[in-house]
Amino acid sequence: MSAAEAFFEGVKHMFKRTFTLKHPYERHELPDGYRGRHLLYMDRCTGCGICAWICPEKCITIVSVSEEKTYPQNPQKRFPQYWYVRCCFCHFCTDYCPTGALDYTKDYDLAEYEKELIIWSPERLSKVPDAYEGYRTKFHGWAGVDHVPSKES
Amino acid sequence: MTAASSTPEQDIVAAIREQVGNAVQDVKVDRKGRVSVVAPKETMVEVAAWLQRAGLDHAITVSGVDRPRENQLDVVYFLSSYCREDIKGLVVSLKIHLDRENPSLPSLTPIWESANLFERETHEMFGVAFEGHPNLSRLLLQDNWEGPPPLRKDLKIPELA
Amino acid sequence: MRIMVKTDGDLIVEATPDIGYVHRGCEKIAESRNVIKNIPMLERPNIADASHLNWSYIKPIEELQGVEVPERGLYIRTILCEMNRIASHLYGMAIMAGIFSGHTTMYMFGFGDRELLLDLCEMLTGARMTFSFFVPGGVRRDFPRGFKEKLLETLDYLERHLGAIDRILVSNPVFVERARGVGVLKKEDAIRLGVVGPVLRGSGVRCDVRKDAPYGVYDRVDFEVISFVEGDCLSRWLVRFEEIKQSIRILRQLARDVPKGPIAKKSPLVVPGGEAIGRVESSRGEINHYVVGDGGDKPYRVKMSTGSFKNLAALPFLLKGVRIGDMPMVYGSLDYWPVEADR
Repeated sequence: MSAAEAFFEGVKHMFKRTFTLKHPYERHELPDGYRGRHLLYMDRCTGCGICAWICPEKCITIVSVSEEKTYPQNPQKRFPQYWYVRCCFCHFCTDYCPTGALDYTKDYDLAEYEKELIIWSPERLSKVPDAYEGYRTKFHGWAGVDHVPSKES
Repeated sequence: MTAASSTPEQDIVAAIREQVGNAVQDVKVDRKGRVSVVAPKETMVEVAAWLQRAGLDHAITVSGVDRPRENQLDVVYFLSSYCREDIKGLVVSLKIHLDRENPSLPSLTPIWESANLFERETHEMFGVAFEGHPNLSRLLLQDNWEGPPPLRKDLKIPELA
Repeated sequence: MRIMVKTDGDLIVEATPDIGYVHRGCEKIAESRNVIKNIPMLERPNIADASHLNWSYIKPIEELQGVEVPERGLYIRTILCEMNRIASHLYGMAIMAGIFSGHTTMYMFGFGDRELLLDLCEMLTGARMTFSFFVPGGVRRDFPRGFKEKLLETLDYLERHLGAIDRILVSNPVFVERARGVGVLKKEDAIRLGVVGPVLRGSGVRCDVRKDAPYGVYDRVDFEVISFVEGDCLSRWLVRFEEIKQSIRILRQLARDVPKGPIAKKSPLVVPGGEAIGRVESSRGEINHYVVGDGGDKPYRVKMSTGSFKNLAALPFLLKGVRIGDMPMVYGSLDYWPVEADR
């Protein structure tokens, strides 16, 4: 076959659908159980420290929280604090927690300008992240594959 | 030589006992697909040459194990075959016990050239001298490394704080 | 790595590779962490093909503990490993056959198709590249709803699009002229130097750990071991291209035959005394992990031996007598991953 046929194969893509997403305005839809940052349920955590023991990178420390609300299952109010610079997002802490106090979220934009903000306190970890509209892939036969908004299909 | 119902591992063990049995210290079948041979430093070249002629032409890896409690340093060669269909799935390990103070043994690069880079790495990480190796220079560590060989148990790395 | 080259005009006379720039001491660190904590660290030497490193580390530990993985767990492991093999070959063809020879369209095609496979891996495990998905005794999660349909849809699209990759790269006369007859590795030299993986199969030796010493469920699926006899760069790329087709064939059979049942068995957090070796065929060659245990929860010694390190012996041999302009093609055809070689 000639080089012109190989060249034409690339030119055909001018007439096919495009796969690119205009991030951050159009975001890819993430599946359930995606390994983003952690979500802490403060009314289930007992402060046992198994998450801190199993963490491969030692990024979890158990600290005391100083707020007025009391937790019957955790009288000393000791909760985990995450240092996200070290976290490798393996989520062994989520799987090993005996009371199910940690959960997966779809939040992955964790960059900050100041070093102190990268340490997430227990109260900050317990806030549920905002939802956003996502785009998912769709196959179109000969026309290729592209992304369509999730709520349309 | 042996009955048709014996496994390839048992065939090799029987052949080793028969032909080079006085040159090895111990030979046995560990589990399915694994045969282990222990040989002393003086006769290891004879055993290695026999194993190579028997069809084991691929040295898949060479490793060192530091045992300070028994005052020993082991060097283990793992061997397999490219061409012989009946022993392709086996791994035969050849272990040599060495003294921890000044470990040195003849290099097996003339028999298996694929062991060249692995012996170089074992020399750098454990301080084992391979006599007759063509090029025992630095491989992975940085040029200005001045401490003891890293993978020995004497060197302790600081714990993650 | 650095390659120090002595030339005579345009021809290379001697080449010496200098490796060790990304050495992190994985084997030393592995002695100070317990079995579970080692899993994310020991799979990061090769992020494009991490599940094979993971399986090769877990296999000897399961042998020492005497734990048998249930059937469904083995099928899930094999499915993830085959998806990873296709993604890794597409990555290799995109960067090594694409960028290194100036073919940007192949880079776009390879990475675009790889995104679909990473979406599937993300649906199954939660992460795109380094999954940390295998634990001693089984796997961490089961198939989510809708996984099998999406897998079969993606495989149909991939089979059609492989024809496009064939037209722009493998049968493209411009690429064929650059790759044919360059960097020839004959069968005797391949056996003598001890190379593994597609480099070995491109020189006429038909060896693959999936057929010689089967693990997982590879003894129950039907596939071929591809090899070509010419031994030049083109035959090495053809081996990888055909292996993608064989992996698609394996995945269709696995998706049809997955049994029901548990996905994992409980295993203790100790490494019993003894030693064991694991053998796994990854996309770059054979990976071995030699684990020595002493009864505690930390392994006494872990030795990793990867495909890229074994293939390094072929680089100075192949570069002799080659023109300087052909050096990227020869280096690229070995599909060398520096972090996997240095650990």
